[in-house]
Amino acid sequence: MPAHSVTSQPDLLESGAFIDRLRAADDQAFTHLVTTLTPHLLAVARRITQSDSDAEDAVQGALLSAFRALGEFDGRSSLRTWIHRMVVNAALSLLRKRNTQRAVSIEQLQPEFADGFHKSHPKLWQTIPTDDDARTRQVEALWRALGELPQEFQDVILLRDVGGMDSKAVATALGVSDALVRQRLHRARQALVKLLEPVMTEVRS
Amino acid sequence: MSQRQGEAAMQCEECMALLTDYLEGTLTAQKRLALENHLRLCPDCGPHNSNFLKTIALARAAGEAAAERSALPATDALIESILKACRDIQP
Repeated sequence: MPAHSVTSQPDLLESGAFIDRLRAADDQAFTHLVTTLTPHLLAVARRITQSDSDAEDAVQGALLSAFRALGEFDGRSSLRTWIHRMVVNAALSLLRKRNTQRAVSIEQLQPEFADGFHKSHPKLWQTIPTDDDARTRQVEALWRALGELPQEFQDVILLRDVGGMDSKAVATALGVSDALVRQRLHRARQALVKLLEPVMTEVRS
Repeated sequence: MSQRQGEAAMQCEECMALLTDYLEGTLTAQKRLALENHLRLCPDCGPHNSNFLKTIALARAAGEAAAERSALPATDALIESILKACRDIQP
């Protein structure tokens, strides 16, 4: 099921009448909401948690929270965005509980310069392999590297690069500015380059 | 080699600091040109930028691999489970 399939019926879920039906505990409306959104939300949560069971817990927990909190939904964002944000936060929260790895300082993982020039000469990596085994090894290395970053840097990579959300949506989900998302994203990406260096194959000149 | 105004000043450190802003399309036209020019010519920033892009591609591949893992029967079961739990509570 493509992740964007929830946008195929854009109007019904966002109409005031539909939200009123949800608030009135209309079973048909809630069935429609859950059936329409769950596949997409599950894909989002699975990208973040890397675990089918954690993803299911995140989606179920977030939809139940949304159902309980419908009275607080003020319509400032769309219903989809509101629920999507709840799922993202539930998934990140589950991941935090699972991930007990000790984070390194992001500063230690940035490129180093002397008088504005690189201190060492970066070696060009080969392109990401299409061979399944080699690709899987690199993907596993990426997950390990990601686990070493401080949480706020993991979050932006998970949402933007792994999850494919745009920066504005990441900022909304995390409740921070677009500029801060870009800054964290950049430092996190640079840190990942450094952490992945030992496992990536160099292009021989 | 002739350089347009603003391009000559870019050094590796500034170039490396702007890669994400470049990808996100938030640089001014002048900065963008200076950065592209630097990446084309610099023997260190060119490869680093390529590795930076490969890191992003790897993260995307990791996400796609996770999202594509088939769990459709589980999706139906999950929907049933959520609906049952929701019917047990009142908003």
